This record gives sequence, C-alpha cells and structure tokens, in this order.
Amino acid sequence: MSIQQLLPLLLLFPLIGAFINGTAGKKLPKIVAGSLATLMTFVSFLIALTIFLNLDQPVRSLLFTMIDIDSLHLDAALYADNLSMWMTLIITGVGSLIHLFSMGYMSHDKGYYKFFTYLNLFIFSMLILVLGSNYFMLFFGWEGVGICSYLLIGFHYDDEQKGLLNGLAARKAFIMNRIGDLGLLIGLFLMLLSFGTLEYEQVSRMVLVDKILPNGNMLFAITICLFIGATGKSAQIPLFTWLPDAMAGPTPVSALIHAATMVTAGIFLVVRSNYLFHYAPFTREIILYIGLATSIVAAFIALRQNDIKKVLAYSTVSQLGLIFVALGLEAYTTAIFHVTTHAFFKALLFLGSGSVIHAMSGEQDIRKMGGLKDKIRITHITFLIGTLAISGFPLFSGFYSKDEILGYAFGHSLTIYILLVISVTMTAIYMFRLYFVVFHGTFRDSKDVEHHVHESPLSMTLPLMVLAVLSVIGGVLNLPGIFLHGSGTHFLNNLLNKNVAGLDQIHNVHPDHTTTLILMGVAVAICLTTLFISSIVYKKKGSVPSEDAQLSAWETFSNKKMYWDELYDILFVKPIEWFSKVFYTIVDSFILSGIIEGVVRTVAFSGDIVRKWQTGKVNSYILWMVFGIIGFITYYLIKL
Amino acid sequence: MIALITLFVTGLITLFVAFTRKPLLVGIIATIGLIGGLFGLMYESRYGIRLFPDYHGLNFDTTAVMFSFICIIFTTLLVWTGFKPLTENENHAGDHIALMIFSLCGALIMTSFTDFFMFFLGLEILSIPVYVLAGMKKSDALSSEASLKYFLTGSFATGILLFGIAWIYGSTGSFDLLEIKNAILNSTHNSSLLYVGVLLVLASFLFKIGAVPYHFWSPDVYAGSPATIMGFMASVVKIAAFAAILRLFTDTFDSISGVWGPLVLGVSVLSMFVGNLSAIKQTRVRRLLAYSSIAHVGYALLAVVTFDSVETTTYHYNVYYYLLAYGLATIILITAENIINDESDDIENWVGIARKNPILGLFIIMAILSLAGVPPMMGFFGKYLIFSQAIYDYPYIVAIALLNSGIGIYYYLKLIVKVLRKPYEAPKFDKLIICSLQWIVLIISGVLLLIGGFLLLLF
Repeated sequence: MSIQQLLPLLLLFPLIGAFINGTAGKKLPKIVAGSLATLMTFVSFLIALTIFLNLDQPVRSLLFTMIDIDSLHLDAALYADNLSMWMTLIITGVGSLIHLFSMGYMSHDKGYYKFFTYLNLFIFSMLILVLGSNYFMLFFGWEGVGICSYLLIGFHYDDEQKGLLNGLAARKAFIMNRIGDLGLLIGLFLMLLSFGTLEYEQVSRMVLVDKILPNGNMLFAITICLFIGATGKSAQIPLFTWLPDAMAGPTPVSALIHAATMVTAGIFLVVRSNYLFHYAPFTREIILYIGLATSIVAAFIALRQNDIKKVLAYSTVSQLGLIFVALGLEAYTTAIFHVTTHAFFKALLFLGSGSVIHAMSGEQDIRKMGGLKDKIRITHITFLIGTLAISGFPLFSGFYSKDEILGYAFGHSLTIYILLVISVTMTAIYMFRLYFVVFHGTFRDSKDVEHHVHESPLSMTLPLMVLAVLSVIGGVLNLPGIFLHGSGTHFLNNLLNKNVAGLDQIHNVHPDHTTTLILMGVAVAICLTTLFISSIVYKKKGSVPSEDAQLSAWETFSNKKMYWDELYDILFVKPIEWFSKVFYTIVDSFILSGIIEGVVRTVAFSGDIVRKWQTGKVNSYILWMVFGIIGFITYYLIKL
Repeated sequence: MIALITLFVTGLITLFVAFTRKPLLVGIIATIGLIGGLFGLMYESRYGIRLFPDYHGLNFDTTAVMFSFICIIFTTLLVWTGFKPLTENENHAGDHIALMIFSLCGALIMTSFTDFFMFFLGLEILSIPVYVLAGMKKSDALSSEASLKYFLTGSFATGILLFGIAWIYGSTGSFDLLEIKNAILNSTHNSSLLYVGVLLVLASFLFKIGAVPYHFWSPDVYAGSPATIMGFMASVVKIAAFAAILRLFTDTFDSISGVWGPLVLGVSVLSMFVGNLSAIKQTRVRRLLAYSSIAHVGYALLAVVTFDSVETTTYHYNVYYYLLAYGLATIILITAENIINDESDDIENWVGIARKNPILGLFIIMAILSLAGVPPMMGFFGKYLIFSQAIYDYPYIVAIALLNSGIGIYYYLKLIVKVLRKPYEAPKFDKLIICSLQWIVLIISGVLLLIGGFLLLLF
C-alpha cells in the first residue's frame, strides 16, 4: 500500500477502538476492552513506523472536501512529512505504552471501558491535530483533544470526596483552553484573510517561494494569535494554571495528555508555522520571554509542592517553558528534540508516580512516603532514571536536549543563559528532593498502608522499563557534533530539515566545540552538585518537607503557587461576576425584559383595538367600504 | 374551454344524479368530472386547440391555465375532504357539490376573461353559488347570518364594480381589455373618468379577496360557513380573484400603475397589520384563519405591486406559488376542522390532537409552519420569493412585512402548542374518525407542502 492509502488507516484504528469501546464496551470483559484499545494504538504505531521509514517527500492524502465555495476551499486531508510523522510516532508509541500501563492501573475502576474510549478518542484527535493538512484540521484536532482532556480530567467526577474538585479542575482546564482557542481561531481567520487559504502547503509556498507576505502588523497579529492558542494548550504564562489542576485526572492521563502529547500541540503549531514566525521577530521575542518566565516561575513553584503529581505538573510547565525559549530562539529542531526526550522521561516519571500512588493505596502526599526503594524496586530504578534524565545527568537523554537549548541561549545572550541555568538548577533541586523524599528515608504513613505496599503488575512495570531505556538512550537522536564527526550526529536535525517546510531555511549557528564543552561542563557540575547536596540534606540528614505552618516566607510563596489563582480571581473572576450581576439586574431584568414585555403588551393592546373594529353589523361594514372608496378617490384627487 | 364545458356538464349531471340519493355516486361522478376537467385543461393547453375559434371572450393562456389548474385541484381536494359533511343531508347531497363545481366554472372564467362582460359574468357565477353554500347549514343561525352578510356586502361590491366598469367604458368606449389597454396607451391625457373607474374596480376586487378596509365580511362569513366552504372561499375564490387582478391590473392597467400602485401597497400594509393583530386574540379556529388569511392577502398584494412588466411570468409565478402554498396549508387545516367536526369551533378543541393522532398532528403542524413561513415548508419559499422581489423597490415595506411575519409566528406557534399540549381535562371528542378520502387529501397536500420548496429548484 502506498503512503497515501496508509495515512487514513493510521487514524481509523483508534477511532474504531473508541467506537467499539464506546458502544459495546460495557458488555465486554475488562481485559478485552483494554487490550483492544491498546492494540488499536499499537497498530497505529506500526503503521506510523512503516510510513516514517518509507517517507521521502511530503505526502498529502485527501479524504474529502469540506467546504467548496468561491472564496473558500477547505479539504479534510492528511499531510505527512517528517515533522508530523515524528509527532505521530511519539503519540502512538508513548500512547501504546500508556494504554498498556492503564490496563493495570485502572483495573479496579468501574469506568474502565469509558476510560479507554476517551483515551482512544484522544489518540484519534491528536493524530488529526498533527496529521491534518491545514490549519482547520489542526483546529479540529485541537478542539478534539480539548474535549478528551476535559472528559479525562473530570473522569472521577462522582468520587465521594474529590468529585467536585475533579469537576472543577476539568472545567478550569476547559475554560482556560477556550481563551487560547479563541486566539487560535482569530489567528486562523486573519490567516484566511491575508493568504486566502489554510493549507500548510499553499501558505508555505506563498511565504517561502513566492515571498508573498502580509504587512508587518498583520503578520504580528497572526503569529501572536497563534501563540496565544499555543499558550493555552501548552500551559504558558498567563494561561498555565489549569495544567497543575489537571492532575486531578487519573495518572496515565497526566502522563499521556498533560505531559507527553497534548501539551506539545502548541509547540507543534509554532514549528509548523515557523516560516511565519521567522518574519515576525517581535513575536519571537515575546515567545522567548514568556517561555523563560514560565520556566522559572513553574520551577520555583515546584520547589515546595508536596503532592507528587503537582511537582511533576509544575515541572512539565517549566520544561514546556524551556522549549518555548528554544522556539523563541528559532531552534525548532532542538525544540522537537526536547519534546521527544521530555515525552520519554516525563511519561516515565508520571507513570512511575502512578506506580508509587498505586503502591501507596492512592496516597499522593510525599510527606507520607519514604523508604520505598526496596519495596518497589523496578519503580524505584526507573523513577531514578527519569529523575536523572530530567535533571540533565550526563549522557542521559535530557542532558543532550537541554544542553542544546542552553547552547543556543548562550549564543543569543548571556542574561538569558544565566536565567535558564537558574531554572535548570531549580529543576534538578526539586526533582532530587522528590526522589529522595519518596524513595529514601523511612516510611512515614500508617503501618496499614505500609503493609499493602507492593510492586505493580507487569503491565505497569513493562512500560516503565521501556520508557526508562528510551530516557537513557534518547540522546542519540540528536547527538551534538562534538562527540562524533559525520553521519551519526544531528539525526533529528537532518531528518526535520529534509522535508519540513521552512526549517531548512533557518541556519542556527551551533556554538563552537570549546564553548559547547564549557557549557556542558557547567551543566554537569550543576547537576552533580545538586545531586550531592540533595543526597546529604534528604538522605543523610533525613529531613522531611515541613508542614505548611512552619514554612519560611519564600517557601510559603512557592507552596501557595505564587498566588496565581488568587491573583486571577481578583483580576478576572471577581470583576466578571460583578459585571454579570450588574448586567443581570439592569440590562437583562430591567431593559431587555422591559422591552420585550413592552412589545408584547403593545401588540396585544393593538390587537384588542383592531378586534373591536369588527362590530358584526353589516351596515357598518358597508360604511367602511364606502370610506375606503372615498379614501381611494380622495387620494386620486390629491395626487391629481 | 374544454375544461369549462366539462365542468359545467359535470355540475349539471351531479345535480340530477342527486335525485337517486346516493351520495357515493354523486361523489364519484363529481370526482371523474373534475379530473376530466383537469385533463381537458391540460389537453387544450398542450395542443393549443381552440374549441370555438371565432369566440374571443375567453383566452386560456399560460397564466389562465396555471391558475385554473390549481383551482380545479383545490376544488377536488375540498370535495374529498368535505365529502361527508357536504352529503350529510341526503336530500341535498348533490346540491352542494354541484354548486361548488358551478362556482369553479366561474373561477375558470375569472382566470381567462378578455373583456369586462365575461369578467362580470365569471365573477357572478363564482359568487352566487358561494352565497348559497355559506348558508348550507340551514339549522345554524350563524351559517344563515354568514350567507346573508356575504350576500349583502357582496351585492354592494358588485354594484361598485359595475359602476366602475361603466366609468371605464365611458372613458374608453370599449369592454374589451386589449382595446382599453390601447386606448389608455394611445391617449395623451386620460380623463378622470378612467381613473375613478379603475379605482372602483380595484375596490370591488379588494372586497373579493378580503383586504382591509373591505375585509369585514370575511371573519364573520368564514366563521359562520361550514369548514369546507370556508376552505373554498379562502383558496379557490381568492385564487380566481387574484388571477383576475393580475390580468386586469398588471396587464390592462399596467401603464397607469402610478395611480393604483401606492393604494394597493397601502392596503397591503394595512391588511398585514389588521390581519395579524386581530388574529392574536381569537379564540375560534376559523376566525383565526380568517384573520390570518387577511394577513396573507396583504403579503400577496405586495407581490402584485412589485410587478416587473418585463418578466411577467416570473412575477405571476410568485403570486401563484404563494397562493398555492397558502391554499394547501388551508386545506389541511380545513380537513382537520372537518375531522374534529365541532359546532362551537373553539380553539380549545385542538388541544392534544397530536397526542390522539400523531400523524394528523404532524400534518397540522406542517400546515401551520407553512403559514407562518418556516423553512423548509412551502410557505417560507413563497414569502421568500415575494420579499426578495419586493426588496429592491420597497425595502421598508419588506421590513414591515417581516415584522408582521414575526407577529404572525406568535399566534401560529400558540396554535402549535395547543395541538401538542396535553389536555388539562378530558377532551370533548373521544376519538378522531378520519376517512380514507381525508387521508388522501392530507397526504397529497402535506407532501406538496414539504417538497414544494424543492420544486422551485426545478424551475
């Protein structure tokens, strides 16, 4: 089969899985429902791999035409180039592993089939997002993943204790994303206005080949709108507060949607539209600083969080900020590289935390854990690998991708480099703190819970091990030229530059070898120092995160998430509530309903009057007819 | 001409067959005659045959054939739907149907006349049987009242018409429409005689179609007459009158449209308002339909004014299509009235019809929606055609018409709510008896209403 024929199949399988589980799932045995969903995603992965290996030039596969009028032509088509196929591989690959993990993790849940329906539907939507051939398809997938995310965050809406909170978290995520979506939508309309099409191929040809560009303001408006969309989905300042709350969802969801795939949609969007951003330097500056701020703010908040998933959530936000810095520096392939390695190790960490939570009978507070390293050995080892990878321990995957970003930042400006280093240092601090507090020291919860602590089943540990291996070796995907000379290096760079529109036109200067070595040395030093200090503080001295009341000023500030939610509450929620109250009492109750009731009364009143005209007496009828005729003739006479 | 003769003979035969006191036989002969008339009409127009080549009083041209066609079809449907009430009294079983067919002959003449003489004849042949039919229920005082009121006001209107024709004759010296037209075109200064005559003729026409301020008879007469006859007045009589208006005013008097045009426009607006506003508070179904029909006349008159002498056929087509949609919807509602068959005609009797018989309810709702002008029903496209034509010349009037459609929706929806609502107390009628003829009428009209909009695509 040709690639064109294979592409639709890629989407079809998850959709079939969602359909079967969604309609008949309730009657299927759990093992069947789970395996079906996992298998469908895995088949998609295999197809994606086939396409990826055979892909040379971009392939477009038309499904059907959605709109065809004079001024607008919209196709539902799929588009495969190395960028979209790379994303597809991550989505389906990591997705399959997380499906497998979920089979064990969710095994006691009564909404089992529903969970897998949503999960498959999510994979389908995400694939539309990355494989669509135009911005409209992207938007379609964008909304699709939004709704799946909403459904999965609020998955345990009927939980007795936390049901309401879960529902609220889902709603928050949905509404926050709505703001971003609106930005994206406006961006699409502006794009349609200035280019007349939403097809990637046509837009890129116009910009790159024909050099037809809208004027600077329009371009700025388009790119900033796209970026606003990206901040919503990829949780950047100011729209990031939904992501930590989204951890209310089941842990595999956090791993799949809120760490590895969906939150990278914004990055995908920017990389896809790189040629537009290339001509909008001011937008790039904004992206750079927003990313930097997000990275630091989130890392700072993560320092004093005590919920294992919250730490990872803020860590995700921080890492996404880091990737946006890379985007702001036009280091698109680096960004995708970090997306990839981040998908590996963050999925690993989340799944690992899931395994920990599973072992702890649902407890998420790290202050109650401790000393788990001997009890859940595989989880411990893999979690450690994940921690090392994200902290930039030498030769682990995170080390390479993060170093690339740091390298470009250094080339751009020293200040940004230093700020990034601060962020990276904080990352290492909170990750080691998390690791040591959870796995070392003594167990701090009740004996009852301790008795139950057990290693997870194979379906859960297998994905952990696979992801751990990937987290270790992920770096080879884009080895810097310093280690090897020749064909082995910059694999991902070359891959993406090969056939992704616009990327080959951007020439980033790699720092020279000496600088690279020095930067690496700094990074390694930071990582090792942090590791050393953390191990002394948390392992040797055995200190435990203090209770909320005993925190110092900055710790409280971090622990309370820098009061972002409270700030938004004062800035937006309260005024809007006030406005809506005012509008309800004055505009709606008084003016609008006054007008409407007034109209009704007037009409009814005139109806009464007109009705009385009808007297029922023939002589009056004839009199009126005579009046009518007289009126006619009078009119004629006047007109004469 | 063949159609006219066929129908006339059918009417006579029906009258005599009635002596056998076999209503079914009467019905069958009437149906055969009506369908025969339909075929005669089509045959004649298809092959261009003229039965009396030397006679020029009637001319069945395209417009005439179009209007005659639906007049015959509507009469057939009405005979079917009203078959039971019409033949209730065996002694008079044939009379009523025969009178309807005679009246139809008048309608055919009204669509095809070429001189004022034939026109007057047609109008009287159309009207006199209807005066009688309105008083069909002799035991019912309201029915007799309706008959008398209609007759009195009708004769007054006839007097006005004759007066007007006399003035026109006095100014042009002819009864023949073509000669009158040429006389108007050729004279440099037309005398006031002509104008006054035209206005008097116009007034009598407005009476016949029930436009404000000549409408007062219609609510009383509609409410008093038997449902079937009301349907006949609302559909066939109105269509014939409109056909005559088109023939006279958009052809013969077209060149002086500056005089009568604004008046018709004013009458159109008045009719919309009076019809719609009065309908809001009606508690009897037929009265409500009477007022709604006044409003619909207002919309149709708007089409008469926005006449484009270049594209005559399109324009005739707009009025035609609108009246077709209106007639079909009315026939469905009349059928429902016949099925419910209640003397008091209270709107509360319609409560819960859709729960008793969902299919009947569906047809009723379709008809009401069509009257209200809700897509995809035919009534919407009728209104659309008229408004889209009128908007170039009279945007404000179209705005008023749209406002009126809005008011109209109010009472139409109220009726729909009644049809759908659960009755608060035990309904008066226990079971709805629908005979097969009525089903046929419902299905034909309902399907046409539904696909009527798509038929537009074919033309």
